[in-house]
Amino acid sequence: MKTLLLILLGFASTLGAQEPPPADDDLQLKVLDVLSTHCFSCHGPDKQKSGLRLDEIEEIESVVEPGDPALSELVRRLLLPVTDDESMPPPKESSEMEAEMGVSWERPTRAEVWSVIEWVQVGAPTDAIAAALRESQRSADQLAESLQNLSRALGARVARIEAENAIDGRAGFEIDFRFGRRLLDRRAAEAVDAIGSDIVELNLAGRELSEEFFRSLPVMPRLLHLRLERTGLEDMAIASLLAKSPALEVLNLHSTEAGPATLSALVGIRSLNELVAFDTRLPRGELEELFAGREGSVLRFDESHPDDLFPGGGPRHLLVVDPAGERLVLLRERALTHYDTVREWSVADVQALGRSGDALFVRRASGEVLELKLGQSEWRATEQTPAWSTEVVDTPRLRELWEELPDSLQSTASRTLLPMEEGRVLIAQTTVGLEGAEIVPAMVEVDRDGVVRWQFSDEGRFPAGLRAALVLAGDPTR
Amino acid sequence: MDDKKRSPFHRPDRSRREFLWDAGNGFASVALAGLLGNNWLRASETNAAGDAANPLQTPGADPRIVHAPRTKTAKSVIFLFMYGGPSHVDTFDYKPELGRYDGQTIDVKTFGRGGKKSQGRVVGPKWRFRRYGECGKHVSDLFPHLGHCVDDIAFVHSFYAESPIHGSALLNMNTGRILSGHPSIGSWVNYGLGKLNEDLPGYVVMLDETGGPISGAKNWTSGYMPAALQGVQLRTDGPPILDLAPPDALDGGVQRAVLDRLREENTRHAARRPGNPDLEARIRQYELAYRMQSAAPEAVDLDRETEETKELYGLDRAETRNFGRKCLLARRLVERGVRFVQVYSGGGHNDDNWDAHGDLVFNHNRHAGRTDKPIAGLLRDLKRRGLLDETLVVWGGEFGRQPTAEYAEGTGRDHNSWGFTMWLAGGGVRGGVSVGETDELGSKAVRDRFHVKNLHATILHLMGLDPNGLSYFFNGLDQKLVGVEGAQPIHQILA
Repeated sequence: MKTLLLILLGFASTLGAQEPPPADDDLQLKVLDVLSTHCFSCHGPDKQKSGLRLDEIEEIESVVEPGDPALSELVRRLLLPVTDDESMPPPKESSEMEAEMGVSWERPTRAEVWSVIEWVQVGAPTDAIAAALRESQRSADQLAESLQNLSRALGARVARIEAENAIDGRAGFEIDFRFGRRLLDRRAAEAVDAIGSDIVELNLAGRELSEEFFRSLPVMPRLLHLRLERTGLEDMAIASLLAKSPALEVLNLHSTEAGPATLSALVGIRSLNELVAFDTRLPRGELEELFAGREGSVLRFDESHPDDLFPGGGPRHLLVVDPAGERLVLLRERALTHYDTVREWSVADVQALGRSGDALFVRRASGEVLELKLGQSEWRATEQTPAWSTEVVDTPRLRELWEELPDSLQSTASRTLLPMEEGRVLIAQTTVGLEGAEIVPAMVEVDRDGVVRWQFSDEGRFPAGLRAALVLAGDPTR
Repeated sequence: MDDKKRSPFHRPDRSRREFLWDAGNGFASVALAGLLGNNWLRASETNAAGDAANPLQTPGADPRIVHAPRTKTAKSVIFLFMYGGPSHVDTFDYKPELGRYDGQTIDVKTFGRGGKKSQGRVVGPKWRFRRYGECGKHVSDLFPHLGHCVDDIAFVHSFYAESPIHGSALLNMNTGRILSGHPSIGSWVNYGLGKLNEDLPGYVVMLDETGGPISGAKNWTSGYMPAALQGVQLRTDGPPILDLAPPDALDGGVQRAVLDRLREENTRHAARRPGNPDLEARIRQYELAYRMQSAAPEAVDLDRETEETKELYGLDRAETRNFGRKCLLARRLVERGVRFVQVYSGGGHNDDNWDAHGDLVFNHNRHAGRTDKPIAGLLRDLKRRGLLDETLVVWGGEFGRQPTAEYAEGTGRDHNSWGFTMWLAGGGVRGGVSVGETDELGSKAVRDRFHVKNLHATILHLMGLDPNGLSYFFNGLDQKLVGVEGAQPIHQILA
């Protein structure tokens, strides 16, 4: 409960209107301010190093000699050089450590030390300090009670955001309603009301919310983060809530009915720079326009992946002829050396394979030419004799590579060098034109250094002993 | 600054804990520390039923719980555990040189289940690598969906673990030690941060349909911590949690009456034995089970998801349905405040997991085929819902695999704990980066090497905890997940 003191010192300004203190008490309040800023973190409600806590009047009195600063331990400690072991607050070395842990320990300023000395000089009166502490405690009790109500009755988690962790450098509250299950009604809104001006984050994700709740919610001038996702809220309800959240920076609306009214409300919130708009009726184009000028802003919709998953062409497909020469088989590469059968056609006596434009061709022993138009799944006879060609890359280095290939790959006169991704070259034996073509047994892919990256031959692959191959970037029947 | 100096245990404010220990109450210090450090705000974090604060939950002032100096933190972790050890050189660690030596026996030192060897036959690359995303990351054709997520992912290619044997390596990855009996990382996270949702477990484990990993529950144990912090196994088919549904005879408030009576007796019993965490844990588990009867079915009800979402996770296809359900469940659980969700890909033995000793192509096509789309779907779904920033996703196995074959024939690779890849996404991780390197064949980590502890330190740090401060007093020692020697987070991947 005593921790409240600290909190209240931070919140005193916002919790209930306080009478301005009489001028005589100013000095006392200044001293209290010095003590709370520089001493309470070690000698206060949380810790009492050396058994001392300076948020209690008796203990304050134990370290001062009214009227005599020179004999006052408090003053002596404040005035010692930083290098002295007894200097308070402790020296820089540990304050760095503390700063990293989120506690700031600044040395008191000269003016602050003077106010303490002056206060001791005038007799170290404590009546105003005591009154302030009592008032703190009383408001803290009230606040605690309303927060307890909030959490107990409504299933909210209330967490304090320390000033040093807060975006605007002021302490505030985070209220998380996600984990309760009852309908949030007017009572919930009224409980929120008590700390409305200090709510920094409000999470209502997935909760069932009554209209009363919205109407009764207070204006939240410091609300930065608002989570409304999965509430299925109506457009107007969202807009009315946004009207009470003028300082909003982060807003999550996914899976709500947010639409035109919400959009109009959003236009007025200039501080907003992160919006989750997936699964809403908010128009993407207009939101993008709205966010265009806001630096570092984030707008989230669904980002679908391209249909063509594989950059630079999908898994390699091969059109092959089976050993008996009775079937054409389409294979899909499963790994560099493994293939799955995608489709088979009963096309016998195939002598040559080729492609031209948007079609694949085979020539049978009878001289008949069949055509498979891309995107179709059946071969049809065609009268045309296609003139097909491939881009030939023929450099001295590639000729060298060619010479290094096994004899079986050099047995025919024609060769084709197909450029592949990342400087690789596919060396395949194909023909130019369908006339006089011969089906070849293998092909090989090499990189610039001549390292074999991929080989395709009939050895141990499906179907055993297959005789030919045409490399395709994707499934031609799709 | 050296770690000792930073550690709060070297500051003079340790007296309270010492006092407790000196008073002979060491075993009870967690609960007592919790009660004594009675920060009212923490204490007010109660559930809807109005239960008192959880004494096992972290009180703000406990000197054992040290928060990292970070303002934006991950709230939950989804750890996708690829049991068996996925091959880094065939997935995310592109090694063009492997092709050059394909089939050749070369000098390379390895240490796998077959012991230490100084020579091996190189198994060339089996999958094409392509560049994805703005960062141009090379990803193999095993993960075409995940490839499109690389700009949200930080890859760490230079992990090493302490053991190349599954059992001990799994414990290493899950608990930080190769020996049994230590709490797993999900327990540490829940110990450090407390539960968000009192109606669900804070730590959930989902296993592969073929069974659990080797050593089973030791991988999600709470070790020497209270049992309330251990992982709860969630099933994706049938009842999510076994024996959770009350029998018919307990209908109509009978169960509540029984529980109230039990609680009364237990509380009376506890009153005579103050500060007994085991007793308190038991009381709380009864209540948790009761509340879960209504909360868990809703959390795991995938029928509430749209068809589009189900398809995104691959629920429409037999191959990806099972793992996809788990990924989708994981998202629903973190939405509902579960701190740590671990999902296993692979279980049982041999090719039921990523342990590709025989046919690498068969094995990895199988497991990548089952997980690629669901994982990519999870990342994309988290992102579009604004959850990726607060949800840390971790992918990896207990180790990687060797560039060389294990046997004279075939493509199988042996275990490799000297160098392997894991990746992290979301939760404060910088996307589109790759850190660390293995040698040219991927046989061991050589640049910016990271121990498994560094992964743990990174996870704790991202959750807002100080890995070198978070400790639990047991056996006369301030035990830490990262060990008393400590470990730093991987700073290169922090946003």
